[in-house]
Amino acid sequence: MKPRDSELMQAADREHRDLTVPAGDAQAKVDAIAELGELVRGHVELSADAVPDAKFAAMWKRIDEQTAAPVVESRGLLARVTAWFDRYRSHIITGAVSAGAVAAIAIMVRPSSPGDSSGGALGNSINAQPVQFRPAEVESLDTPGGTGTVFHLTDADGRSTTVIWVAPEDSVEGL
Amino acid sequence: MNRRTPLAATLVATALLAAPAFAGDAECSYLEIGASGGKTAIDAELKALEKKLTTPPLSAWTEFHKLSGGNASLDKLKAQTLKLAQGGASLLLRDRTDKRLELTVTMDDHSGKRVLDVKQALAVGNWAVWVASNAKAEGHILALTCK
Repeated sequence: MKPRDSELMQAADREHRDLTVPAGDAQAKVDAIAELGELVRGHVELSADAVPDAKFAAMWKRIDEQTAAPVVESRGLLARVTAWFDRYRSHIITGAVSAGAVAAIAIMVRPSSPGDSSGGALGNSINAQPVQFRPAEVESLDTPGGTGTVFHLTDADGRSTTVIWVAPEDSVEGL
Repeated sequence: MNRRTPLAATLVATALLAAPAFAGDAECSYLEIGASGGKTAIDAELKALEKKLTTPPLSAWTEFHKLSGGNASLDKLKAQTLKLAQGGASLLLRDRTDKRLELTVTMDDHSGKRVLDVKQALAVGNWAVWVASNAKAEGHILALTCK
């Protein structure tokens, strides 16, 4: 019985080992199918090998470019300074922003400047100011013809004020 | 404009803003007060000092009247004379920081005799009080606050 083409293909792939291929056209078909199969497998393997090689080649090329030492050029001072700013731009910006934030906080919490008098138009008006609880420090005290005494007065609100009291030496009770 | 110009401007502005705010001057307010042991009374203009005037030892007096007062703009190391109703006084700003002033203060009585010469440091916003009492148990008070 003459084998069918499907059986010849199985025989070429060695999937139909019991089939005896008669010589002649049937054997030629089997040989042709086997050869064609070898060609296809070889092409597929070569293609599979070629794709990773191309990817690795591109990757190594990029790594080489990035790790290569920079080309040293003879440049002017301004160009080198500019390059330095370019290289450390993020550091400089971070530092500048931080310094700006600190300066802004310092400006917000500092007391108003001496020129910002809130005394009003009248010459004898009194400036209302927040009082800090810190007594004055007396470095030297001279009271000619009298006796000086230094008090640290604490009022009902707990605010401390330095009072220097000069009493005449000839007073009977002084203070 | 070069793209680095804003960065340079930011750095310069930051340096300028971080500089001290004070150049050495101070704005002060003073009150000259007459104190005695009469009927209990404190002038309304002395309200800023009322709690101090009613605290010992100043509470030894019961009557306080404002004699004069005003503002004094102090320049560093330049003496400023205060014309008081009774006698006179002078203020000298020797140095200052943003929290503290170093002052030299003198007080003369009505006859021009020096009764007080003091060097002291004063915290910004605090009051300093100088009192000269006489044999009649009357008080001549000078109070000063600066910023």
